[in-house]
Amino acid sequence: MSTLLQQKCPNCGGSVSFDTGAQKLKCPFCDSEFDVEAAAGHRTPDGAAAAVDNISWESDTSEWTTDETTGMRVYMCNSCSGEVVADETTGATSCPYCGSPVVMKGQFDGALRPHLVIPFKLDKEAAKKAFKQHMTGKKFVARAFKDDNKIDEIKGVYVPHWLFSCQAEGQVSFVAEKTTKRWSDADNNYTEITEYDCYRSGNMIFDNVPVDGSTKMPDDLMESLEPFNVNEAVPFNVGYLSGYLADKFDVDATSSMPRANDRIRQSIADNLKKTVDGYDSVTTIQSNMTVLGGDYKYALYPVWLLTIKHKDKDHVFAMNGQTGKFVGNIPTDTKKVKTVGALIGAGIGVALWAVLNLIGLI
Amino acid sequence: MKKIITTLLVAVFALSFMLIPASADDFNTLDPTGLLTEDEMFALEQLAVDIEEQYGYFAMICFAENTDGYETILDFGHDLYDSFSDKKYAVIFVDDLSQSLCDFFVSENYEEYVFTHDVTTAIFNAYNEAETYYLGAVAFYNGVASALENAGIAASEETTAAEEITDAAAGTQDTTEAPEETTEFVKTERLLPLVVDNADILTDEEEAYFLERCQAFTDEYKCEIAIVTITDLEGKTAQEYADDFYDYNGYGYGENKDGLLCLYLDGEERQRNATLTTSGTAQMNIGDDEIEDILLAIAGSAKFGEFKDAFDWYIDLSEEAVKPVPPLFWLLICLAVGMVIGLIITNSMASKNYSVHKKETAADYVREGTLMITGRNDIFRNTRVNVTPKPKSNSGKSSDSNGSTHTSSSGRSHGGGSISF
Repeated sequence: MSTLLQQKCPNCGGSVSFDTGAQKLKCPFCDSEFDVEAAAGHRTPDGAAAAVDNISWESDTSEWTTDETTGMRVYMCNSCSGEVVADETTGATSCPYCGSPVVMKGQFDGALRPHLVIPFKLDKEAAKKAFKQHMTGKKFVARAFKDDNKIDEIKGVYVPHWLFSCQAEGQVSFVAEKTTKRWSDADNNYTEITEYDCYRSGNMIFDNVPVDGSTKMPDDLMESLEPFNVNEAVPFNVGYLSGYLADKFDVDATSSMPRANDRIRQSIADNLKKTVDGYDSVTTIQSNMTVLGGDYKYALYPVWLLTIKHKDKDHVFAMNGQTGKFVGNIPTDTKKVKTVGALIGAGIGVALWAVLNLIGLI
Repeated sequence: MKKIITTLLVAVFALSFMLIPASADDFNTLDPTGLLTEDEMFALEQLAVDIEEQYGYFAMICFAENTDGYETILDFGHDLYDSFSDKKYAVIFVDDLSQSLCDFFVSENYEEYVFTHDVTTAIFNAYNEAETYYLGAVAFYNGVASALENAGIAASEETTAAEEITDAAAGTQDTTEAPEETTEFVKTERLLPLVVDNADILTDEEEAYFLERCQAFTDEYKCEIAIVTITDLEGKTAQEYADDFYDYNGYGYGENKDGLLCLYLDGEERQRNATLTTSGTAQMNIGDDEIEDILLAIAGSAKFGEFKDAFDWYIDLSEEAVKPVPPLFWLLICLAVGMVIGLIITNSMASKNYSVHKKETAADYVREGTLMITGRNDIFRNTRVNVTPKPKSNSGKSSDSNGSTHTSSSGRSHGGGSISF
């Protein structure tokens, strides 16, 4: 069990870190800066615990068996150094992340064996259809993204995820305000505002909060694909990998925990904040969290990936292989946005001028 | 005793005969000294009859040889009224030829509303400038007709002129409740020149110069600009005087009465004040800040007696304020507004191209119904009072135009300001 001491931002409740340049604590969420001593002296309401998180995560791990890895091959991308796993019958010719050719590195010698896998429910045709649907109606799309030829390069990839489950208890301090009186005299309006220190604690159970375990897969892209339905996950069997690529995790569970903690903490804070009612405004001052019975699992999530290179940059589109949710930022032709905007604007401007002239305002 | 009574009766008869010719019974123009020809008398009589028929008003002009026996010319006029008119409402102009003095007698004291000081001054001036007595009399009758016309007076069977005046006068006294009732009194055509130097602070050359400048300004911007100097506010505030002078003398260009007037008071005991009143487009274009700048500029020169500079500043700064913005400027403004709207539209359309967003919470993974509140504590911390100054509002003013506005006694909306120095 490990204990993590975190200082909270008094403005937004986010975790602050020490900025060596400014020699101050800095909040990465709201850019507030605090003196270390001042932040340490920030008042805590009676009954509120200090801003100390008490978090522990545990897991039962298992290893791959020799039988399982015999038919598995590891391919490496010389461009982005990404490694993917495929069975010997599937093979791999290009990297699902950057589209560059891959070379076989050798036989797979996996370390941790996934606990769960959510099998692909949607095939490649569904993914291609979803991509076309995704592009429909979009304006100012760069020409390269209108090329249907790229669609065939869409690949099914099992993306490694760490799934964190726990009962989490949160203690959150708020400052709440409400207007208690209003009056006026000849010169001024007066508003009496009463402030309260509010404290809430409570617990919630979280099931399978996912954190992407691959550095090659953008975290925000994977989170945009959520939610996956873990109830449909099955115990891992190498047979599910047949016909698909699989990524090996390169972000371990310990490195993934802070992200899970942040999301869980924010959820608790949000839910506890909703119980601070009857006030005009509520501001979170600090929060801390205790994780009880936290465990994590290693799982593979099914994702259809399409990478399109445009202006030396990889643009990744992804579809949830289970639910069909399709995401991906479509590069926008900013020149076209400005040009069309200017033309529309000129039309509006001239029409406005004509109308104002007509009604005699100018 | 008999002798005394007889002498008195003869004297009274003789006096009456001398002052009020018997032939005047049929004429509204009394000419005991024979200044007018018969034709002229008939022509003038027609004017008087027209006034009586059209406005229900008795108008009379009398060229009296003298008004001896009367304390004032007004008393003489009152006697004429009692002798000749069965009308309740009358205006009688008396020229005492022996003293070269003229005055008005106006019945029922309605001069305040119809025959104002400005109206009677205009008639006096027109009478004095006339080359003959006949033309002077014509000017008098025309002036009376014009005043009654502008005041909206009309003879009718149902309502007498006096009743109309009474109603309107009541409205004038309560302009805030029913200002529209009194707007009838406002002149539709300007009666006075653009420069009225009653305080006589301008030389004739300066007066001509400003008259030319004001006229040029008016012609170019379709907005009248006027300069008025006075020595007495006649019991009014400077702003009231300026507003009334503007309204009741028919200042203002076009139907909207677009224009502005600078009233300069050169009163006793160095009482000096400059007041602006604005109307129509001038009211819209000249805001409070501009009015303050103009007044400060006027005061800055006028307090040193530099009246030419003061009124030059007044015209120059007013020109800056009312000068229309070039049409191209508005086109550019419209284009700029259009561009902003156009870019907002296209950026809004382009924003739909982005669907990747980080998730901040784990809300999707909360097991339903597991939220349990284990601690709840609300503690009073402190109370503070926020003080917000009330918006300053000047009494009777609103700010629905470029600057503050107020309503004059005529019921019209004006802008303006005043400075004493």
